[in-house]
Amino acid sequence: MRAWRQVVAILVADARREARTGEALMPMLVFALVVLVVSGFAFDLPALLADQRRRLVPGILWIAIAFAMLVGQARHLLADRDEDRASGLLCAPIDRTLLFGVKWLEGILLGIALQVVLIPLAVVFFDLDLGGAWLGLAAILLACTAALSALGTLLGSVVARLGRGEALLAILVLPAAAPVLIAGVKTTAVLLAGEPLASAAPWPAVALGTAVIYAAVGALLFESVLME
Amino acid sequence: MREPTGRRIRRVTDPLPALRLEGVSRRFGPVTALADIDLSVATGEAVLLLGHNGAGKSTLLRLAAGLVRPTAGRVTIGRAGGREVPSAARARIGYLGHRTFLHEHLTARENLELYASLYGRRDAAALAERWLARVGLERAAERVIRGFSRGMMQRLALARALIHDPQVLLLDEPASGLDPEGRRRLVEIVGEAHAAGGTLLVVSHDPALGLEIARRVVVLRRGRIVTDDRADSRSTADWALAAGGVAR
Repeated sequence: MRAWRQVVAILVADARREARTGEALMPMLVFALVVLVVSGFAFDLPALLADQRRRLVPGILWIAIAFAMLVGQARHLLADRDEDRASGLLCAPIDRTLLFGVKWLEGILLGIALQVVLIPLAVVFFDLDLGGAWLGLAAILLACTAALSALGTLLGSVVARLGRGEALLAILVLPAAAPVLIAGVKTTAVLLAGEPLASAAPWPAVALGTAVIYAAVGALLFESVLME
Repeated sequence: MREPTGRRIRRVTDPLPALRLEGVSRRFGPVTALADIDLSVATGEAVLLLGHNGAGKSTLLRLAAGLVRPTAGRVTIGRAGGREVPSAARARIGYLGHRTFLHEHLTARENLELYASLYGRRDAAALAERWLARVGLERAAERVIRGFSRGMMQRLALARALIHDPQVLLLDEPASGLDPEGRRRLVEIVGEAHAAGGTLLVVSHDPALGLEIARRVVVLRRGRIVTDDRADSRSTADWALAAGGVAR
């Protein structure tokens, strides 16, 4: 019961901070929208055939999502360095694996908030016909977002602990994020072609597997990373 | 049993030390911050920790608070101990360090409610209300603390450290940034916590402040305990000199 109260207290505090400052979500949205718009003009997407668009859009979407999440999570996690708030959480009688879980969940929620805006805009902007692919797209978005959030949470804590900035976070996260992004791009391409999720095998399993592995590694290592 | 302020009064019947460090060392790379420290603080005891900059005082407090892992040795809070301070033991500790741990985009009330909830208190709202009044911030309760003065932040941080009614108080330079009124409240609040059975370990460069509360003084030098004596065995000026400071 106490753990539930602790989780809610952290989520509410961080949601209030985000609502008052927009320090994570606003840069994420701006970055992702700029990628979308610039890519649209660079590739002249409206002029392409539907099949050509379907080949390009998954890559553009996942680059926008991955880099925007990196920006957002860096802002979100590194903000806890102010006034050493991370130590405030570590002092409290909260299980540190649970603490990882809360920060992981917050990263996922930031990713979902971004995608709720980004995907409909991409559908309109690139004139996509999702047809019955919504559910499959939601599933692959969730799996990849969970993997990216787990990576960002663990490595963001490493960077915060080292007192370093967002550049190091990008260097650490992006290579490890490569299989997640490839799985996201491949699965999204299959879904946009009107084929079922199962046709994208093994990529959905790769996305889910990396999410599980990165979350498990994060939960195991989080305490060691945070402690001095 | 409760005193008129509503604060729970603990009976000092536990023969176990409230805080015990056994053979504790801590190195940061080539630097030895603490070397083979043995320190036992009895339940209800108030200890002032003195020493010059870099003597290891703050590291010792962070270690006891569960924020720093010892390179060697064992830390015990009450009955729970080991190489790390377990979660259940952290619930008994109130730590006030150099940084406030406060969220600058939350109001004073929201900050206190957050920390009360993190310590599992169901009565977070009532506790926040009570502590805002105790540290004299009731009029600023709904203000986002980003605009607070250093003294107001320190008062709120004191309330944050004490809101869960901890049995062991670890205070690192608690009067930092406080004006005379804030300092008076600090001595009063910490004195009440001690009178109610709380165990205190206070770090201060100002022996005069610590000696208003503490009955025992431990002096650290280069990570080792060099003096451990009754507070009344020397004058305040002599303690300042023993700590490597300047007599006041």
